Parts: sequence; C-alpha cells; structure tokens
Amino acid sequence: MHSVDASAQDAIRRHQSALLAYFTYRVVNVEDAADLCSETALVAWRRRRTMPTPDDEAKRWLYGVARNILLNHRRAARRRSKLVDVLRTELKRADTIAVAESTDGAQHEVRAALESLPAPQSELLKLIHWDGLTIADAAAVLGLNASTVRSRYAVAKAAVEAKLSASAQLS
Amino acid sequence: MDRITELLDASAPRRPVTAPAVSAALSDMVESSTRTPRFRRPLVIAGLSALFLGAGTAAAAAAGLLFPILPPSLLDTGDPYDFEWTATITVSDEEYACSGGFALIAVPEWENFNQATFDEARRFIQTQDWSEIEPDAALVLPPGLLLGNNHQGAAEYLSRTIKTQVITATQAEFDRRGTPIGGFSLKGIDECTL
Repeated sequence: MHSVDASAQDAIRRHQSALLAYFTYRVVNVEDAADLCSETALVAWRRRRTMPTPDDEAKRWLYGVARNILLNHRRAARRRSKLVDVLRTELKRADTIAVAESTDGAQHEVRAALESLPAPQSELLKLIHWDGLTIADAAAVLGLNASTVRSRYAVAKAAVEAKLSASAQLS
Repeated sequence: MDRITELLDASAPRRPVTAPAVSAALSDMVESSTRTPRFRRPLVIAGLSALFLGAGTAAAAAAGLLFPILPPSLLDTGDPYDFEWTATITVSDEEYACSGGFALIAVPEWENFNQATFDEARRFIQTQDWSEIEPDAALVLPPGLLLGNNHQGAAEYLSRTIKTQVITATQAEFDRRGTPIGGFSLKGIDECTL
C-alpha cells in the first residue's frame, strides 16, 4: 500500500468515532449519521492525496469534509451499502437506550439555550464543547482566523450564560 | 474551569457512538470505504486469460491498481458495476470530487440481442484499461450547460462524459469485430461533491 494511502487510512480510522459523534450531535434521526459518516469516509478516501499528513491538520481537514457533507446533506435517494445499513440499525438501537437513560434536566436546559442562539454561535460552541476541538481547530474547520473565532467564542459563551441566568430567574 | 464551561461540556447529547456494536459496525464500514481502489474491478479479472487483458490493464495490475479484493459494491448490493471511476473536476475554480459507475443491463427483447456478445461486451468494459480517458467538454450537449452558475451540475455532466467515451469505444470495438452489441441499457450513478 502506498504511504499516502496508509496514512490517510490511519487518519480516517483514528477519527472515525469522533466524526460519527459529530454527525450524531447534528442530525434529527441518529441513524442518518451513518450515511453522513459513510459519505465522509468515501470523500476523504477519494481525496486522500490532498489530506495533510500531521495528525492535527488531518483532523481539521476531516472535520472540514464532514462539515461540507453536513451542509450539503440532501435527503435524496442515496446508494447505501449493507454495511451502512448495519451501522444505522446499531445506532438506532443504542440511541433508544441512551435516550431512555437520559434524565438530566440541566443538560436539556443548556442544550435548549444552545439551540436558541444564532446558528453560527451555536455551532462554534458545539465544536469546542461537544466535539472537543480547540479554538485553532474550530477556526480551521469554519474557515476563519483564530483571533476572530476566539472573540466570537467569548460572545457566544456569554450569550448562553445570559440565557441560563434569565431562565433561572424565571423559574 | 468556570461553571458555564462545565455545563457546556456536559451538555453533549448522550449519543451512543461508543457502544461496542456501533463501534464494530463503524469499523467495518470505514474499512470498506477506505480500500476502494481508483477503479474498482471484480476479482475475476485475475482469472481471465491474457486475451481479455489489454496491455494497459496488465500495467495497472502491476502498479497495484487492481486490488485483490471484491469491491464493496459487489459484496454489499449484489448489483455490481461493470466500470467505476473517480475524477477530480474543477469548474470555475471549484474543485469537485466526482465518482460514477454503471452496469450494462441486458434487454433480451431487442431484435439483435445476443447473450454471448453481451457477456463479452461486459467483460470488455470490465477489463480494458480506461485510465487514459478524461472528462471531455466537447461531449456535453448543449455546450451552454457548462456556462451557467450550476457548477456542480456542470461537473456532473463532465464526469458523465467518461461513461459516454467508454460506451462509444466499446460499441466501436464490437462493430469493428463484426458483432455489434444490440439490446442493452445502462444502470448507474454519477455524483460530484465539492
């Protein structure tokens, strides 16, 4: 196997779970994350010659691919392999259990505050707090410079804090 | 760590990507996706006589382009393509990753249909080295389709010209042999992603 192929394969494998999580956080039906993750792996593999080699850059590149796929997500009929079907089934089954076990009211409240923000603010906070990206990673994924993202992050975080304080006072 | 940071960190939906069954299914899927060769061809190529292998295909095999595995489409859908391709197509400075594939479908009702010729045509398509074929703007009709703002659509039209050239070359080869192919249709996909 060529070294480009091996290093791309390693990078995709290393980040596959994080990418699946990225999609599960952002789709309504959790099983749709299987299709999006499959598409990400296929596109990343197809374009592997442009994937940077250092792992932190490969990670940003993969999240960039994932973000584009999510933005282009169409519900048009897609050719789906049996392996993707298996992943869809397993995701749905495991998610049903996870949802049933999730009873944390505070989490729901924070999520509601996040969703009430303008989409770019909400997405930035999710990238950092849900996906575990750094400011620099998030900046690369969003195609912005790090200082812009840093200031936008501070504004977004303050907005969540304000919403949570307001709802605490109301309740 | 401040309280808001803690709350935000803890607010990620508890979604099940770490469940063992999910991890296993994910690994299988990624494994299948990342072994896709540039041109997927069936394993049976290796067993065909040299008569059917063009010199270019033998060179491609030597270069490792023909993988000794069944491509995912054969394993998973039972609906293999006779030819698949990937291409990077740039339209107005936007780079699209395109892929496509098609299978030759027999139409025995056609008057000139001949099963042996049809089978040989499929084998011809599967085994020839088509790696020199590139998207050709001259084959997009009407040419104005390439001039609009639908860059993705233009890339897909261009990608499709690979299929056009493969089919045209195959028909020409069988005409030349005196056994024209009659009675077939095509089934497949073409897709470009930015």
